[in-house]
Amino acid sequence: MGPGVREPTTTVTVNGARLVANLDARVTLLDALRDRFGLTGTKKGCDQGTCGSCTVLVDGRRVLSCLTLFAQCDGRQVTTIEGLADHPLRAAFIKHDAFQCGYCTPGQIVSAAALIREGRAGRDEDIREYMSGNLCRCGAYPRILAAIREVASGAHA
Amino acid sequence: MKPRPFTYLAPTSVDEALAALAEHSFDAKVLAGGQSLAPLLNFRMASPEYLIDINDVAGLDRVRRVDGGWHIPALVRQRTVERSPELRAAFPLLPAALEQVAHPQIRNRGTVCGSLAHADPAAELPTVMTALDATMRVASVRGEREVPAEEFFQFHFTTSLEDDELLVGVTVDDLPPATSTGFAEFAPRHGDFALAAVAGVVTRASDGAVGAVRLVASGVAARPQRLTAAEKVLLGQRPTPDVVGAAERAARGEVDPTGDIHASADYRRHLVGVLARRVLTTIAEEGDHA
Amino acid sequence: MIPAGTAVGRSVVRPDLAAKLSGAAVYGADLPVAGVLHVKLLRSVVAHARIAAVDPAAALEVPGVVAVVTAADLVDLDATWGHYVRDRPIFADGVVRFAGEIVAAVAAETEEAAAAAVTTIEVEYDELPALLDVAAAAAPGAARVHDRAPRPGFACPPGTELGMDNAFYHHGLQHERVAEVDEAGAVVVQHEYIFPAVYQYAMEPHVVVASWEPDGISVHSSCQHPFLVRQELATVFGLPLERVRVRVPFVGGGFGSKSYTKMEPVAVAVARAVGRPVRLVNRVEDAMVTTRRHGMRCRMRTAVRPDGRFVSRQAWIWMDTGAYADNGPTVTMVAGMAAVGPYRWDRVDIDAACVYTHLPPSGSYRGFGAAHLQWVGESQVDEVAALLGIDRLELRLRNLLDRGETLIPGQRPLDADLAGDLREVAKRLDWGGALPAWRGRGISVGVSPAGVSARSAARVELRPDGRVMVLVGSQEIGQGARTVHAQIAAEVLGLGMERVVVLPTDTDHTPYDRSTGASRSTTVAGLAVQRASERLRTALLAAAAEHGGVPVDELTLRDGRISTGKRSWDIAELAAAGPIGADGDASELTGAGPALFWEVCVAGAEVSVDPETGLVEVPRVVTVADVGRAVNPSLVERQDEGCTLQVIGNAFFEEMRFSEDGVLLNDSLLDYRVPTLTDVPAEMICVIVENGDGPGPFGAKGCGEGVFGGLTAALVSAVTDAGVPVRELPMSPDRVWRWIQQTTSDTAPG
Repeated sequence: MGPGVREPTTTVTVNGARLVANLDARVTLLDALRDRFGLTGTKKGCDQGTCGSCTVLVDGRRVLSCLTLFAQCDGRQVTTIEGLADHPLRAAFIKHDAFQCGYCTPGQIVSAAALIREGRAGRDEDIREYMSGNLCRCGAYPRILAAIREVASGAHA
Repeated sequence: MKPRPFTYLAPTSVDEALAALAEHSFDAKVLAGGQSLAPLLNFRMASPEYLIDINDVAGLDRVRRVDGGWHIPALVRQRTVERSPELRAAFPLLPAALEQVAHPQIRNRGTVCGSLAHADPAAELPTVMTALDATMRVASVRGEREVPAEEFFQFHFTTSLEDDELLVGVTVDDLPPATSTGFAEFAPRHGDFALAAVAGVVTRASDGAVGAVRLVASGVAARPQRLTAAEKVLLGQRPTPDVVGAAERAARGEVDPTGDIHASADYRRHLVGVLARRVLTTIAEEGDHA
Repeated sequence: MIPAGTAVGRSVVRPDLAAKLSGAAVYGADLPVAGVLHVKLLRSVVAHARIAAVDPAAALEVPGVVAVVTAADLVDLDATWGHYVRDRPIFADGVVRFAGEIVAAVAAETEEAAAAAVTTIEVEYDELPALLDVAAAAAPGAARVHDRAPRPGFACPPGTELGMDNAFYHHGLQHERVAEVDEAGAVVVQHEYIFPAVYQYAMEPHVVVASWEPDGISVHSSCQHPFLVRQELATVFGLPLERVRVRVPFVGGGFGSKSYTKMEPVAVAVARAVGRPVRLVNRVEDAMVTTRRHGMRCRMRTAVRPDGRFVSRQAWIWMDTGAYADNGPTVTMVAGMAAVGPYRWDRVDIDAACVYTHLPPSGSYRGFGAAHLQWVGESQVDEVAALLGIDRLELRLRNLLDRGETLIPGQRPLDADLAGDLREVAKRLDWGGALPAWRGRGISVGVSPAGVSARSAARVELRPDGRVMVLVGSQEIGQGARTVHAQIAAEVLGLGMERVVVLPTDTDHTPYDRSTGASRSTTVAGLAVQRASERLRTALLAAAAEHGGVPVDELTLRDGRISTGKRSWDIAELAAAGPIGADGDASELTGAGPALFWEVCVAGAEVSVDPETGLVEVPRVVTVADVGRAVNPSLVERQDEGCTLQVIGNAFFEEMRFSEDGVLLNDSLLDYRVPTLTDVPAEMICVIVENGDGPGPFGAKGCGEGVFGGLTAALVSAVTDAGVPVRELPMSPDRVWRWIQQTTSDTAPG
């Protein structure tokens, strides 16, 4: 093993739980979450970084878990939909009927949670732009917008 | 799809990273944000034997002030630059262009230097850095060198980086006084690669005439293209609507785009003219009010 | 508006939301399956070729690989499928007919091993000329995509004629309302039109988990039509229906892409070969060559008298169904009907042809037929209006059919107030008001046959715990079918929603339902639920009467309690000894032909065009949900909103592009663009019209697809009104810019 070759063991905190795994360097964060840790709430849509279904938080910032290698997450904090059980977005998504088939929903909520925390959800045009990486083919966008707007303006304050 | 097997290296210093690059050069790929590289790996369009993850390399993650300019090292994320008050003030072109790059999830991980080294001719950052006359800081175990943006980008996904070299950062000099900048792109849908984009940097002389100008287009060639004919039209002139119109025609005339599944060659040529005019009009108004 | 009931007519919260929000909802890729093998498919890289050789040797050497399966492993079967035309081999057999056709499958212990192995299979192709243009394929003397006579599939309607030409199926509509059709002095418009191939893009790609067990086939599939999948698998693998079991997990969107059979035969074939359960998950690039919307070419002619009276409409339509029929003939039939338009013509003469080409197969996608043709017919109405100087709305109102009039002889008469719907749209578009330059308004009216079949059954059971289980085979694919069915049962049985559970489909236990499509879940499956619930109610009251020794007519059933005078008891007591169930079906819906009802396709739009870039923005859309009765108004609105977004994609930027060799060029979402949150119109108005005139429960009729016909046409109409004539979709910026250049040069002063 030459200089800089990292020990293959990766330690990650996922939704507050410390997880240690020794995985092939090719394994993405998405596959690690779903296949190794059984957290199937994060969805695999395109697996190409184009649909947003697999959005998770790494150290509080939203990233596409299909474009992130698990090995890159050593020592990081990962939050998935399963870790946002108490987030007010959940109630807002129900109130505004902000989804249909539900496949994009975990990614939408994780992405929106980060957007609200970033303080960038104040204006509709910002929400539109900063949520544009999360596709919803059912077209629940107007309701997603309404749910995020409500949480950003009220419950979040 | 899954990438072919590779050995994952995680150097913690620039020297370690350069040593690894020297040892594996052609067989290695550098991983920073991974937003361009990961899809290439997954589709096996890139199949390195060694993946050199530089995310643990110390000292590359903060923008810093250097003599007469700003230095953006290799691990600075696009979103960091987009939201940096200092850089926004110094180079409004950067946030203007970065806001058009893909989506926040991508920009949170994607690095400025990663996009530059990837050298997608349709990407925003190479165009903007060419317009800003930025300097690439390139290092290898053989030493360091500086490469002007115009020489750095060579062809589709091809830069002047040698196999053992790392783009350790990019330096942008402060803009001279009385300089205005503008950026415009056209993408049918937000976040898509633009069909065409134009970035402009214009410095006015005391009489209001254009003293210096860099006008750069993307989407029309295999690398960012300087619109030299349009620049010539502008030099020494006040950017009146007539002059800007002449520059628009010159821009249209000097590009030779190819058509693809997203747009025809004629349409791209037309767009470059429209975007050049829009950029120059904004710049002219700003300069006139300055 | 009709007053709400206790459950029906209310926007109740969907019971399946909580699981979807927490990440607990299990979709096909989430199913835990012990010992499952992963399947990757080798697809043809050429559009048309003879397969000279397939060499799997290298793939079998890859560690973890269990088997490579090809057509050679299925020689003991008639391994060809297709519900309408049985034309599609599970694995390419000697010849490939489109780029993307399945040639081989690898089953391996890990996804990585399967992916690595599949690229090492060597295939030698002897390339053949490919027919990629629908008109060339339909031309006389063209080489045949299939050289054998088409075999009807199990769902092919009896008496259907299937021909030997590439244009193997025709739907003709010829009828005259008057003895002598007089076109003298008529204004005539005639043009050719193009609709591109597009992709449904359900966000969850197709997923199948299959196992071959001693007692038969077991499949979990993300499918819309599990009972037709069961029939297809039973047919292909030579088993009785009872030995094929299909279960459906949560489904991440369908829109038609998961209708009929898709990936199930190949998954079962691999499971059969390896003797272990397998999981097959499509990716976007797989899904795009699995099914798509038909590309279309059409020539249409419309003649109208100077006084504005419609005289005749003719159309010749070619639907590109690709290398295999899939649902092409049905799409072609509906396209032919949509070409007519809901007007009083003296003469109609339509020929719609379903044509084989060497492109990936085409099937159902939301609003098919109407999406293809309504804009064509409606743009001719607009053009005539302009030529005659008659307002576009006024010209339509003069010629629209009234309720009860015949649209197509032999079909259900018109069952909606189209003029009323159209006026609603006009009002909300400020029809007639002035607009600045490069802005335009559009309006459109049409109908599309919906319901397709009365074959839906349901069972409703009261369980000892006091909950009512609804077994109905209509799939929840995001549209809210489970919610609506629970509301119907709750309304009839006088129960709170929390006591009604709609179970997921398991073909071993769920009563038969033909399909989740054609806007039939509320109207047809919902009627079955209503009838079953009514029978259960009767049974419960009878049991209570016996139990309490009281006459039935003295009992009431409300809030889950049966009461008489001062006494009351929870219905759960009636089921203490075991479940009480009742069955129902929708057989009373005997319509003539595919239209059990006419789905209304009425919409309006306002657009602005940037003449410099050709970019079109949509500040306002108006859709009409003429649903008879809105069982759940919120869900109705969601359907119209969602369909609006898909229309915006189809109308303005979605388009599958193929190389000159027939290879799909934009097989990722970077290059195939679908709408994002930034594409939502500033103002979206959904007008719910409730006339109680549907054949479904409580007067309901289906919705959710009509917007595809109505709004596509309204957007074309609006762009035309803004000054840019449209004969081809999508109205992408480069096209719009080119059309503006052409229009400007055509009309430039000489």
